[in-house]
Amino acid sequence: MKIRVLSRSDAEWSGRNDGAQNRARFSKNVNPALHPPQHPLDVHRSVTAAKLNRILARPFLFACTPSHVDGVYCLARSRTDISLLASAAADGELKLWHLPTHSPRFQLTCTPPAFVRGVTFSHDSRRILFCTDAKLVHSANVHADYEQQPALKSQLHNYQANAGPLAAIHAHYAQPQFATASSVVQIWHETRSAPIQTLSTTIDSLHCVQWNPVETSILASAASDRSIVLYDVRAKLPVRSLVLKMRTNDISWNPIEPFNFVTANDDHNCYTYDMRKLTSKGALTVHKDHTAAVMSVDFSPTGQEFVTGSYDKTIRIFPYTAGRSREIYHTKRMQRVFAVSFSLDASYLISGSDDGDVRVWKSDRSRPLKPLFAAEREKVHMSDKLIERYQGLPEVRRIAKKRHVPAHVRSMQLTKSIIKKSAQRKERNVRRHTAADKRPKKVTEREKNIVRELE
Amino acid sequence: MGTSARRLRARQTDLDAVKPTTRKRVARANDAVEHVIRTRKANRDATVLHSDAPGLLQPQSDLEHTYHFTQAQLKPHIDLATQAKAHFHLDLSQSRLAPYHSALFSRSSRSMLIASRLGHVSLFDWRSLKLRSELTLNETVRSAAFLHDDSFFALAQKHFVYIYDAQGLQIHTLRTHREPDNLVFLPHHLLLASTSAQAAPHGRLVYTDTSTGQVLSECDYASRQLRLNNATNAAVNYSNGVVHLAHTSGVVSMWSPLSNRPLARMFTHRSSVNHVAVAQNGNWMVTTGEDARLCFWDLRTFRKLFETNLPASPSALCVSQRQLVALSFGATVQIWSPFSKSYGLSVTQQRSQPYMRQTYSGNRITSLQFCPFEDVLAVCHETGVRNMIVPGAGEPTFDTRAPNPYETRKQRRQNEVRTLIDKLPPATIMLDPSNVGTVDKDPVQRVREIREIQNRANLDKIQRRALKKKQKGRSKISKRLKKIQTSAGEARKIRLQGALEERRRTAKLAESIRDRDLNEKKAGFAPGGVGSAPLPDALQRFVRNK
Repeated sequence: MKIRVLSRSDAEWSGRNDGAQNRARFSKNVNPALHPPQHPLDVHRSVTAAKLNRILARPFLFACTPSHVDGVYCLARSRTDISLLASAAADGELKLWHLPTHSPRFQLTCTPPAFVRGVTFSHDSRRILFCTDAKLVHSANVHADYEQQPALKSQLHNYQANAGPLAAIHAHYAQPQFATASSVVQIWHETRSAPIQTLSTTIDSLHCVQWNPVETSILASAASDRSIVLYDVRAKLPVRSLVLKMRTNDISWNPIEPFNFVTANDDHNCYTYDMRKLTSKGALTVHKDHTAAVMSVDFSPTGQEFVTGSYDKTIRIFPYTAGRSREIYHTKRMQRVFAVSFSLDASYLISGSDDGDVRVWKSDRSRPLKPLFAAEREKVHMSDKLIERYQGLPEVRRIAKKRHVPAHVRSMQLTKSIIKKSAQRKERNVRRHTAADKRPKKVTEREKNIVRELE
Repeated sequence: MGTSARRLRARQTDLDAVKPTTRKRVARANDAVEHVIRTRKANRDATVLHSDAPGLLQPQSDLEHTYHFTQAQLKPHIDLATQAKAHFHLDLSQSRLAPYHSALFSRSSRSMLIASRLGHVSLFDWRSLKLRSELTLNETVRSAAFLHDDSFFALAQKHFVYIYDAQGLQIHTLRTHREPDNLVFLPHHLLLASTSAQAAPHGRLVYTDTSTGQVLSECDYASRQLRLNNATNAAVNYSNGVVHLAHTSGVVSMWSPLSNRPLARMFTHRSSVNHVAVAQNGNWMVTTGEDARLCFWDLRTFRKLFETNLPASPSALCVSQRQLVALSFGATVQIWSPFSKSYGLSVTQQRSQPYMRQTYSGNRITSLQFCPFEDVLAVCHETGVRNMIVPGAGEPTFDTRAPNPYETRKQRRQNEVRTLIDKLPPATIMLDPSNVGTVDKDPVQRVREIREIQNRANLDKIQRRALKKKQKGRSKISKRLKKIQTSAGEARKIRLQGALEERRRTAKLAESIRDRDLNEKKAGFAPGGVGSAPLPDALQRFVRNK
């Protein structure tokens, strides 16, 4: 008879042999009969994970103090230093914030005091350039100690523009150049007092200009005649332009797919366009959810999502291919949001609003900010996966998708849905009562906002 | 293992020596990373190198039979540690409180709980024979059960169920469980269930949530509508949390706490069912009845797998982790191994003869229980408890995160918290737990499908009725032709009417689905998600303005 009987050494298994620490041996058996039923357990865990995500959601971190006296209309993040952010207000005040300490490194007021329309860090992030209604571009040194030596404040380097009040400024990504927008787009060299190039159009005024971060000679701008204009500085003339039904307020290039850019439009939507196919065929994606004009947009450095700030006093985060936002942030005291920005590591958002505050938010509302232990990291990863896997379940979806929105947004959402329903009904009726040959061509949502394209 | 572990430990930073908090934190994080690496390595080793093989008793020639091999013959062949386990024998013949009716192992296999009918209850570590608590209750004890770990147990006493802790302190009285008879515990749902068959609240199955103390449900299984009669025995299917009750009516009923009717009823024996037990993987169930038959049932198809005649009706029944079945008649224990492939026997042989046999003369056996993770069977008879070695009964490898015979105090605490966090809601108790979290079809659509099937079936019936043969001059060929024609016409008319009605109904449905989609959109959800199935192809033609 062949005999074998289970036998374990108690001393070995209980870790008594193993020295003073008495560390028990680890054993694993994946036999499902030894464990709770896996599928119901996963479902149960996914619901718990969704609930915990809601409970831990604390997206608002802090507001920088002391805040601006007037509304904040433009923000710029440093391209090299994760902790630096510049903000400028309508009263001509510029602040360079050191975000880890929530406080300004220095603050300046331009002379003559005028509305600061645009601010940008220079290509090497050593200087801050900001333009005002007084047709001036001021240049401040990031590393200068303006607080200790106030005399320096009155000795800022200025560039005199002659084309009209400057509405936007953006520094080149590779060379010591920057572009300003007024009635024309002008390209400046940092060492010259006059523009090196003027890109003229028939447009009366432009209010947004953005260099492409990868194709560095391409420039996107938005004009007050509701058009988006693409320039190539090698060609001097606009390469392409598209006239929309409503005005585009801001543009941001996707840093990872640099042929795509997203625009913030006055018609409450954002549109993603491919610069290679900027035709009347329309946008790649229409991003809807805001209930008022979108004032500002900024792509995450990861290129996976972008943040928008709106006139409806909320901030939203959109995955770059999604039609709907994944997140809405708002506070009771935050007024119209005119400027938003992702931080350089994509884990924070910064917003500047009409109330003069610069607020810092988490880009993932429930992710802890502290450095995580391996077990904690695994836990976070596990719960993310579970929520993703069971997102279709009503119990999980109800919890995970639910967001509290301010009353004015809620009521506007209802109004918009009524308007949309009625427009759809009207269109349906028109089509039904029109002869087949005279029926208007169906216009998709992506091309609805386009008036005409210009070569 | 020893040296490498020591080396790893030597590399660990002395945390108290590092002063600044951030650096301490980094050091801790590094330690954590190292710990993870170590755990992963141990994990990998544990999965790859299953050093433990299951026990085995294999005949080497045709003349040898495993069932001839006695415990006395086995003893010289086993190691000293296992011999010590085999020597375990509690002789309680002097006890005034006999007969003893249960000897239970905890899920971790560490502790044993024995209970006598007259109220002697004892909890001890059976390997080291360390007594943890002993109770003399002077009251009938009908059944006992461990709760989620070794430190709590429940007793079904004369009037109520009581919960005791490891020190023997009575910590709860569950008065809803009146006159309890059988006790079972569902470890993943933390539910304690009892049946009462004895007196006034005749035929009750009561569930209590032991984590909240809430009484979940009381089912009246012996009600006149169900006609299940008394429950003689109860067992749990751990793979789905369903409680199986054996009834005197020959039926085994399966229960969930959220339904006042059984989820399923199986007619298993033509006599009373005496015992029921479910395999650990939940795939099959074994029953024995007053008719001295041993029946195996497939729980996935609800069909009988096979049955065997026994010499008598068994007094106890038990299934091991590796699918051995233990039975007892009087003083004899029989072990059956109907599903194992490792004994060199054909399936027919395995199913017609026992694997092992042992007689403990002079003792009436009252209950049997296999020890988890060991090749040990606890045989409880009226005057004591002894161990029997059954090679191949236990699972050789345990999991540190599941019940673990060697768990440390810290692991026990962590596991307790994890059990509470992962407590399954009672709604997950169902016959097929893979249905949890699946999405129901659109109920309207489902009704439509059922109606379609009904219509088709009815149409068939109408045609068949029309061709009924009638005599007395009605069988003339002209008359028959005419009749067939009219009946066919009638059938056609009914069919068309049905189709028309169906079309109207589906159009209405399409309308309602569209309305709901719009409502959902209004509520902020994109249509086409759960609950708003996209319009089926058959309904696309009813969508206006296409």
